[in-house]
Amino acid sequence: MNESKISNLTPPRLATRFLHWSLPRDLRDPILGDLFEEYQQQIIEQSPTSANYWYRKQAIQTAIQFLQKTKRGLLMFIFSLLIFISLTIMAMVLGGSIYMFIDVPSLLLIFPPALFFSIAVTSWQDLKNTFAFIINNQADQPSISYIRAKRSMSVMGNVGVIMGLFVTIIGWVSMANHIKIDDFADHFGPAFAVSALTIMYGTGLKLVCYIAEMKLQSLSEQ
Amino acid sequence: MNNKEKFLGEFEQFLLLAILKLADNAYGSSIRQLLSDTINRDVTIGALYTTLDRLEKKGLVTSRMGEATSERGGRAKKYFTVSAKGQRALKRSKQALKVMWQDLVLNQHQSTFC
Repeated sequence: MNESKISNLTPPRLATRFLHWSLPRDLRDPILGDLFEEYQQQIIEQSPTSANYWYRKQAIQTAIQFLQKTKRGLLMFIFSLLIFISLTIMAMVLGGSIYMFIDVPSLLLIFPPALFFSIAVTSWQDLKNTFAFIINNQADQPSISYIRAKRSMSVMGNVGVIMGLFVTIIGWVSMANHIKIDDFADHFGPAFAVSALTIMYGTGLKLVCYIAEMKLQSLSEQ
Repeated sequence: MNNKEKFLGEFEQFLLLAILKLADNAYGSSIRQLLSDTINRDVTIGALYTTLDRLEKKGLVTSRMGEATSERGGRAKKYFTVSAKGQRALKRSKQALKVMWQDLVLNQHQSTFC
């Protein structure tokens, strides 16, 4: 394979991006450079296919080695979120059926308003920063960025809970006005259950936002 | 030797010796290549840098960043040098092994000592 063709070949992008994300900042240049150099050699000595395989293997093994150091906070955050989600699903399944807890209008009444109010009070950039800080475990930004990111999570969580209560009360008012003594036994239970779902969605959102807020707090204190 | 000055692990010794052999050209890739060529040990770049980082924290090696080059995709090399403390640790480990091996002969057929 001639020199110009080799120089046009770049290592697998996804593996490079994953490795770049998982490495500590001071080791990004040396490690990615070393792998790039050896990747070019592998192409000359073997073939692009085996060089790509070699590169991916090295990148994944190296990334896993550094993930525990650089992304420990994020891994713990994801782990706790997964536990929370699985326990919630388990409780729902044990309660009868998971479909009892899914109501699209109730979801639309909670999540979009919470998101829009959060953006309105802070900004889209603050919301993006929140995710960036948590995913990258970034602790080196100005403290005002963390305060604003925390505020966006606080607004989102609180709006979720308040909207949940507000919509539930609307549901109760509507139920109280429409329900008749003849069909009370048949309709009260299902109607009450649907009205309570908005509180459930709101408090669920608040829980996740609270954890994110506390994560941002600890990042800002580092 | 005080209690804190423990002996080096096998891989740590290999790394320090490789850095000494490579002299001014000791960086991740060249160290990996040397270990593969001389002792047939294929280590991942991650394992190599984790150990080098540990050795640097112990003060056994020092590092400096080189220039970014196009053959490395515009990324800089990190060069390593064995410090005086590292050389002393190597000597101590070599001496300890030498003492332990003294008067021992391995029986090649039965794999027992005689």
